[in-house]
Amino acid sequence: MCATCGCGALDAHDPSGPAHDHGHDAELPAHAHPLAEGAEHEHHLADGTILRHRHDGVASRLVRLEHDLLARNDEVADANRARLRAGGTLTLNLMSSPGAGKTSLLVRTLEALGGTVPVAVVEGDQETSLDADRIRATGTPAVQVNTGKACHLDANMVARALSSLPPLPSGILFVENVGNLVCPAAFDLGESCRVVIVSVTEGEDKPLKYPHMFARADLLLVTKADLLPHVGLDLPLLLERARQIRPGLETLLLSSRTGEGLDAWLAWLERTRKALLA
Amino acid sequence: MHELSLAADLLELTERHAQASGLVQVLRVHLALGALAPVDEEALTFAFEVARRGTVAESAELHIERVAGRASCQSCREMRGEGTNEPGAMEAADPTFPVDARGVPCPTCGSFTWKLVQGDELRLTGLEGV
Repeated sequence: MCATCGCGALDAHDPSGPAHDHGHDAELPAHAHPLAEGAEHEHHLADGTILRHRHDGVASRLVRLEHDLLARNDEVADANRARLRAGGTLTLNLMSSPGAGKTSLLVRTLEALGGTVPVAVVEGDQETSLDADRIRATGTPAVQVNTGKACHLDANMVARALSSLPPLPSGILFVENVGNLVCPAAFDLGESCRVVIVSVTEGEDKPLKYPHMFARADLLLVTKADLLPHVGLDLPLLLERARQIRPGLETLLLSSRTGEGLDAWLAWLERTRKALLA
Repeated sequence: MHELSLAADLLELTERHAQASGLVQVLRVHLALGALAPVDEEALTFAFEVARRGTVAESAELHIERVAGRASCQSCREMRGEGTNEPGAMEAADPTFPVDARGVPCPTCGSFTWKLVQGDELRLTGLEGV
């Protein structure tokens, strides 16, 4: 608190600030405040009067910085990646809009893998453990991460989830992100590959409408192939648009319900898992 | 609304740098935001105004400097023979071109195989305060 005027806003008065007086019948000696130019503040006078006002002319200073806002997330993501790679674990970040069929795809995939490779699942949702329950019913270890108000998983959430999962030597960790084509795109989790899932009912426009999600994808899975005859999707156009955003993007078409295209997906998993170990 | 968690990260960084630099009150936070960064400027500004309460930047203004997108085209580079030992490799004055969105073709060759050289920044560049 200022001993001169009783101003409690700041502890120190800057002697370099311009001196001034108050002129409020307060009979205060002239003094200076280190407040910003124009910052409003209060003086509590001995007689109980509160003076709320601003001063002008106090110089602020600029501290120049170069600090990436996502640097901290990226550091944790890199640590996750190093840890998972050292353990020989292929880690897939599965992202899609809500209802594209991520969990159904996982259940079908886990059943098909049938325990031939070590697998675990991290399930991200705002609320409930419904998805983790579905995964555990297949006998696969699963951790449910509830993000609460957050609309995406971040690297810290995955780091915490890793600590409650068994090591997966030469195995696969599936991370099912929160259903959302916008926010998860900005957050590296430490995955080996990003898999974007679009169902045939979502139309051809998704890559152009949500380009950030597609720009860094490694694989596009088009799901619900069994509905293709009923929904009139122009599949070649969807794939063309996805490759407009991400040239050379690998794509697969499958149905978790009928099993159509599942072999190609399992082959992709096997190839990618082996490539990581090589 | 991942902008809210980005704003919280921004304010945490601000607190840390303010303390390190001896600022007791931050009046302006400078942020470089690329035109193609996956962040909405308006949502970030709104989130910043919510998240700044009770911090050293309580009354601070978020000053966003937009960084225009520029890209370099892979196909054009290959056509020019860059990165090869071909004696006829040509040097262009400025091989980059402006982009303001993803999924647009290279203005020279029409290919989509370009990479951003700038325009995806999301960087705290300065703090003004006392």
